[in-house]
Amino acid sequence: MLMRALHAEKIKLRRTPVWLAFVLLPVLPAVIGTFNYLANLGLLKSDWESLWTQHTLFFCYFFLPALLGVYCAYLWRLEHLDHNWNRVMTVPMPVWSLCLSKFLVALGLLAGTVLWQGVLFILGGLLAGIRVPIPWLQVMDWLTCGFLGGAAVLSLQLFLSLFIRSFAVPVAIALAGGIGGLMATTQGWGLFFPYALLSLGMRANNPNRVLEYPVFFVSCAAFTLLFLVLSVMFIRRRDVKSE
Amino acid sequence: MNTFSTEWFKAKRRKLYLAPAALLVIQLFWLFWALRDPDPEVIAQGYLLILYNAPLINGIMMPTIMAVLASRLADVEHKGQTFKLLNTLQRPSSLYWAKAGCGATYILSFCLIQITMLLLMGRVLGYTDSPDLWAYGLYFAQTLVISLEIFLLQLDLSLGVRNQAFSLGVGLCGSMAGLFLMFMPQWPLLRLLTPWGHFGATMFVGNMWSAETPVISLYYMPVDWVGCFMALVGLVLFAVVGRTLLARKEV
Amino acid sequence: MEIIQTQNLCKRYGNAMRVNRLNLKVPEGSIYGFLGPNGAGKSTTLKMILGLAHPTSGKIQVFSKPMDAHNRLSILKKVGSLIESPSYYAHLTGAENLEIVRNLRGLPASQVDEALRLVRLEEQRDKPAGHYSLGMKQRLGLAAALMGRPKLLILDEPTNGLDPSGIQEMRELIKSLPAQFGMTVLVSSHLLGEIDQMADHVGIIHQGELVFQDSLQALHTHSRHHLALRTTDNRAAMGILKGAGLSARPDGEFLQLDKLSDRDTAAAARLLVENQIGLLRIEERQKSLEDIFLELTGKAASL
Repeated sequence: MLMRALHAEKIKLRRTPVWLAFVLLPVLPAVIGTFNYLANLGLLKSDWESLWTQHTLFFCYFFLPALLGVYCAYLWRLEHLDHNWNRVMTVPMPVWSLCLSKFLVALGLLAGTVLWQGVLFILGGLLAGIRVPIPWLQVMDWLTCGFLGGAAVLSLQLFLSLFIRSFAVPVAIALAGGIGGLMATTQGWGLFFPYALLSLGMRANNPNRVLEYPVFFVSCAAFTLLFLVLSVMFIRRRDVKSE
Repeated sequence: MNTFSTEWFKAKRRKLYLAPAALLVIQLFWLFWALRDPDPEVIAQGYLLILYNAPLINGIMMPTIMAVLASRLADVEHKGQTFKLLNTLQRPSSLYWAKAGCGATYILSFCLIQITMLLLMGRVLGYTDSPDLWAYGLYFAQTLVISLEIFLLQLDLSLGVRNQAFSLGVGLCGSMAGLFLMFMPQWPLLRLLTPWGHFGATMFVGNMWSAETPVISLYYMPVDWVGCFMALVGLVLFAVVGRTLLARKEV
Repeated sequence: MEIIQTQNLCKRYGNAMRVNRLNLKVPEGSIYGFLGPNGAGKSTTLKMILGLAHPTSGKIQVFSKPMDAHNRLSILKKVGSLIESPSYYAHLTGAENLEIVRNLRGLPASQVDEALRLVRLEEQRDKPAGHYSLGMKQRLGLAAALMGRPKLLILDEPTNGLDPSGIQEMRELIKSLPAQFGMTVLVSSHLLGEIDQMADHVGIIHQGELVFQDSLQALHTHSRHHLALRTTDNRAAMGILKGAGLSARPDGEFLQLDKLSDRDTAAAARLLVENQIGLLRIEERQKSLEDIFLELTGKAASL
């Protein structure tokens, strides 16, 4: 059933320009981050870590959460518009597989974004002429943990976009969450705030930050699961309203 | 006037201002949080420091706030498929001016609240210099014009394309670009040409910063009147384009 | 056997009882017309049957199984529905919209074309559904509902937005379903004439309450013939007729009598004349379904 639900989600994404934001948005911080890196070589050490700070600085705190907010808002908006809840809830598809398929599609988009971010990072570094060999393992670590933190954000944003029918409001919450994440990280509460998990995992702005992996993984998994379960419960309880 | 009050009537119970206002509160809180525990040398130039930081935070958040506000105003027509109905009741251009006017009223109140809170913040943080009223007045005017400019662009996008992911995606990409252009003084032209770059282009407080002596030393830069002018041009341009597009939109 | 059965079904929104102690019985193989003015609670009832809305109290049984979280999926497998306005993804073509339903119901690929043919949308299959006219969207919705040949079809105002020939076509299609595919159809409408032409069972709902439920035939016997007479003195005539064991009711300028045989009619006329009452008119009349509807709901039949 889950495979069928996933396939249906794939059809729904045809002819939509969502992928455009996913291609375009990471290019900007990569290009400008690389130039910024080159312009400030006097201050920065010439290596991959300095470049990483330039690439992730603003992206992870403010724009990636908002971008994930856009993905999630779009996925549920498909059902909020044109009476589609009536259809979705009268086909023999379990609620959990509906929620899970939305989550997995969003996760796929996130994986694409993160991978693309990695490609752009390596490309930027090579073009900027960094001579140190690429720290593959570290890059993988940043990207993977960023992906896991992002999963928690997706789960939360999907839940928000499910019960807030407006497109823009959940995106606004995501931006606010990103800024809140910045503050939470500085105060040391980052591991207990979903939006901070994204930038913590990426080690944005501070590539050498020590990440307490066990706590981090448990926290990502807990938030992801919590909001998925809340979404399923919400759909089961509420009445499908007319427009 | 009638169409304008109709627009407010439609906004009833939707609490359009809520999401933008919440972001505004977060913005102020963020600034306050960043400026808490000031050093003595900061206190002496605190009001200047606020004017240095505020455009930066505006650059990060204002474009999204504007995109959210514009999308909320436009989306109600897409969801209810009311373009058909409204076109028989009012001229499309008057629908556009009503929406723009409605948004402008919100933006004006946001900017008034923001400037009041900034001045209050200086008081609370115990800054010893006195706020330069001319500088704060200029900052207020700039924030108002640039926000309105970006709002109108977003309104055009949100009205023109039913899929709100498009307008918000463009808004996010734009504010991202604007933010980085703020740190790229070597590309003045790009800053002038993108509406999101105008927050950076019109900044008039600089920071003398050097690696050896990491003290903040702020100073007034010559005001970039070309930047201010470009923001006004953008404002008019987006208004005219939006009005025309809506008038030509087939429903 | 009843395909759908509800017991004291209630739904409260705020302080208003939108559906009040409804006992619906939809027999297998029937076309059940669910009739009522706008806002009577038809859509709310249908949504509760489909599990889209949760009853405030009361029970719903579909295929003799309670409609609850546990049975929801197994029941929905055998039900097709079209509720309120049609559901569609505006950016996808008609065929793609059906492809989603086909896929979620796990049906063979041929079903999409078959469903499109059944509602005559083949020509528009590759147009985005957002560009469809209301009637086309309605037919697309019906096509989706028919996919997989469900045992039970629930249609809410299916002729909405259709032109006269479309309405005719939809009616013929619905009428053919029980015989052709063994379906049971529950169809709602606010138009009495429409139900009269399609259904064999009728339920009439008014302000959330079921005011009539029986076969269409039974509804028609309500519309039995009666006699109307006008005399020079209706009041005196009424007394005289009552004395003779005939029940007469005043009806405007007329008196209303149950239908009498020719002999009894002649006798009644003679009785009146003998009592010096002039007989001005005597007519045979039939109560229309509209009159009955009006009596039951206090509202005109098509509002």
